[in-house]
Amino acid sequence: MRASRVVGAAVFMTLSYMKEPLAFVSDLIIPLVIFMVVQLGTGRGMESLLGILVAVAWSSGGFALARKMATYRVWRLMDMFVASPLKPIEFAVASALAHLVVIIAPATVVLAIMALTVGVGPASLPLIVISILLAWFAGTAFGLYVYGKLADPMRVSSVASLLNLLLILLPPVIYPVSILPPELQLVSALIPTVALKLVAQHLVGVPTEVPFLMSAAVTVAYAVLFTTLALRQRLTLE
Amino acid sequence: MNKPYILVEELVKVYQRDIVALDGVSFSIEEKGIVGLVGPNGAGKTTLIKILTTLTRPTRGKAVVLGYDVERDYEEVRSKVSLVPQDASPELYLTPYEHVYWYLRSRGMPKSFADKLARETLEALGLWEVRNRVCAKLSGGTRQRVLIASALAVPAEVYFLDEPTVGLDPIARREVWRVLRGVAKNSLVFLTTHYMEEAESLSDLVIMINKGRIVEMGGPRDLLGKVRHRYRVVLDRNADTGSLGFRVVESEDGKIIYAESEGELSEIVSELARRGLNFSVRATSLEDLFIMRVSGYEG
Repeated sequence: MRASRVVGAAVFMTLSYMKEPLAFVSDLIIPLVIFMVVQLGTGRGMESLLGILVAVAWSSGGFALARKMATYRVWRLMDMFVASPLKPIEFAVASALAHLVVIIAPATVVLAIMALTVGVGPASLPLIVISILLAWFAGTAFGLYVYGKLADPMRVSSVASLLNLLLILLPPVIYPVSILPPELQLVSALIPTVALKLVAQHLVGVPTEVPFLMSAAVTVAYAVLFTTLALRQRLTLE
Repeated sequence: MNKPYILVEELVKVYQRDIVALDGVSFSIEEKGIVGLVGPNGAGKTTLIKILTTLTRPTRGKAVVLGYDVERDYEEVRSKVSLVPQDASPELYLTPYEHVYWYLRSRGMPKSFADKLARETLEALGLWEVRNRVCAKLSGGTRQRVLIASALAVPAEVYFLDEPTVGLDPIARREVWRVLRGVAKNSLVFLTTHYMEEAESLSDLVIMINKGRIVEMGGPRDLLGKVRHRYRVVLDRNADTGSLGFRVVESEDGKIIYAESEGELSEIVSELARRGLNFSVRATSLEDLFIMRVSGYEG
């Protein structure tokens, strides 16, 4: 793998996002409304904001990346990258890095809200960053797998929206897990995005009923599974 | 002996079990220059380019680029070719300079070399003035030139361009032709087009393809020399040619009658004038050779 090629492709993809620095605002509106309701209703806004950070990182790695690659396929730009020395794995890493950069702006906004409303100390910051990176990594592997599975690039957007609903909005990612009945809390912890959010809660010290080991084991299992599946995609020809 | 730039033997591509895109295509290109692959829509041009640039696998047969098998040695092929895909779009939020420069960087070019190549190519293609304007704000033809610039800035050994001049105005098209001629001094430029006059005036070698098969191949002059009929008379598509007594070929332009000599032309023109039919006359071209081969008019 050549770093210069990876950086070149990553910047190529990132620049379009840099030209639209406020594009993320519309994506944050619904999650922030949910946060306000949760904070005012239960006082557990910290859980909600951690969930939003996980959602932002997962969505960027997962859905935005898959959408970008699908767009490049529709535009046939992908053909120019395939017919070049850039190896498929280099393109995948470049896409992942480009979408890590995309997380910075919305994550900064959410961290600022966190600091201003529920209060978060500087000591928690590295642990929050680790949580974001974990969610980005798992989401990226998931996004690459989903992208590779869909033969028709036009379907990527609708599938991404459906998965966004199933993995981000419906499960207790942005709203607290504790709202659910106890038996459903453990079941929901088997959903990758919820497990990631619970790991973040444990790291930052926000109490939860689900044991840390369970959340961590589910997170690692999904990360390994998605990475393995993504790497097995036929990224070379056709 | 030098390896051929492109060697294709009995190449077959079948999509979805029964759609035959290429049906036993064979040819060899030994010398640099411009090769024009011409044919109507659905003739198999894009499929051939996709196979040669490793974007799709052949069903049967062999395709070798610069001595490398496109299936077995695809990484070597990819490192030595550059492609402008058909109907492609540049990244709309990038400027032409960013597009060319960062595409070169993604191919591993060092910073200063990529900058030099990007500047030279943008200037050559008349894009320097708009180098800092995002592609979304450029016209369709200018966006197409940004893609062409991105591919031609690459120091490749073989350039594949799939219908590169579609959507360009006549001046821009000639500007691209001029740049391609310069590039072809040191490399092979393999382009597809359905503009026969483009292939005729630009190519050193023309390959005519129809329904997945090569129908003619040779230098433009050699091919024109094969046309026995020197004149074409074009009539309206709806003209009544029922009992004319001359062989009529249906084409996209209308109904065509070919004449071998001035005497035969005069005979045809007199008869058409007598019947009050509208027509036009011009010398035959490569397009006519293609029509004749496809319709079985001349051998």
